Amino acid sequence: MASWEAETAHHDDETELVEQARSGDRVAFEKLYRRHRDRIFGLLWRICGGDRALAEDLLQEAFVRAWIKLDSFRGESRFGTWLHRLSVNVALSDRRIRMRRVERETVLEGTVERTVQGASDVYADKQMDLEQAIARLPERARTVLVLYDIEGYSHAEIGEIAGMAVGSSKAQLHRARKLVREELEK
Amino acid sequence: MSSRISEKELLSRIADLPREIRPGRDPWPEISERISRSASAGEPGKFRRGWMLGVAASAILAVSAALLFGPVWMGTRDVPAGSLDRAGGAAQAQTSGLPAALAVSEAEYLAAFREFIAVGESRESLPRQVIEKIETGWTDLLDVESALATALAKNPHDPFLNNRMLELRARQLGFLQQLATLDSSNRRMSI
Repeated sequence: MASWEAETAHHDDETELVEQARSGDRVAFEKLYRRHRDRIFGLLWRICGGDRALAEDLLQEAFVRAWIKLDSFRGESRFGTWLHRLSVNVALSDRRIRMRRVERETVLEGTVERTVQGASDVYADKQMDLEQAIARLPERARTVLVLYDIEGYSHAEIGEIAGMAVGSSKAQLHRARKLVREELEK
Repeated sequence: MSSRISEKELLSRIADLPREIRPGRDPWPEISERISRSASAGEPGKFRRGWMLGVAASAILAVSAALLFGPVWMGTRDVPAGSLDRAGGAAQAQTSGLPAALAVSEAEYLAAFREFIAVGESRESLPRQVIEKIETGWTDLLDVESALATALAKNPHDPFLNNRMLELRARQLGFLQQLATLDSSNRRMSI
């Protein structure tokens, strides 16, 4: 009961902060940023394959876009949900640009190496080998695994956000889990 | 020595991963600076609202122009009730020297049209669908204009046709004003 009340109070407080930020209050927006920063960074860091510098850039980009688009947030979902979705879009649109660049330059090996090093930057515990295995995944497989298994998106939502068919999302998830298991079994 | 990992075990380990990770460097100072810059051009969301309103208004104007005027010159629809009210009323319109009023309207329209040329500068930065909507809307208005001009050439003092042309010019001016808004919003967004 106490937990439900705390949750409701948190939601009301957040609605007020969003309203204040919407009217141009940057202090309120900073409170929202502090409240959601680590959650959004965790998402972006994994989608980026453990590249901390890139994830920090995307974190910045996501919150700047959230500020600009705050007027389009209608309160039909939680602010955190809206922000999460917006951040995924920021990350995927950025990755699309990077992937095109990488394809032109054909330096995929360097990308893999960089992401593995990035994984060890952030935290080192018993789960680090799993994080590294996820970071080593090909981009699309990693995106699907992060969004489905870690962030709880449905295949339909992933298909819509990442521009792929539901069947492709399922196939990528199957492939991603298989590759991660193989990596962990080495 | 490694062991086989079941899918269930893998999912269990994934579920234990922390959802929140603290960034090594807090990017708030950069975010704050960037939103300060955007705030100097208005409150959050103002760019987008102006932009979307511009597009929506352009589309509505094009559609309403086609609906209101399209069938009129073909004689398939009566005069819409509200349109004559805005022109000052049918009875008054028939006796108030409409060709002169039309001449004033033409001058205003041509002045706005010259400004319209500047809108073309932002063409490259507009999405293709938006350009198509604008062009379709404008083409619809030009089709109506062409039909009215042909009818007016045959009956220059016809009060009904003159009223329609005045109303069309008002709509074209509104359309051009929306384009100007769209253009300035687009320029602000691209800064």
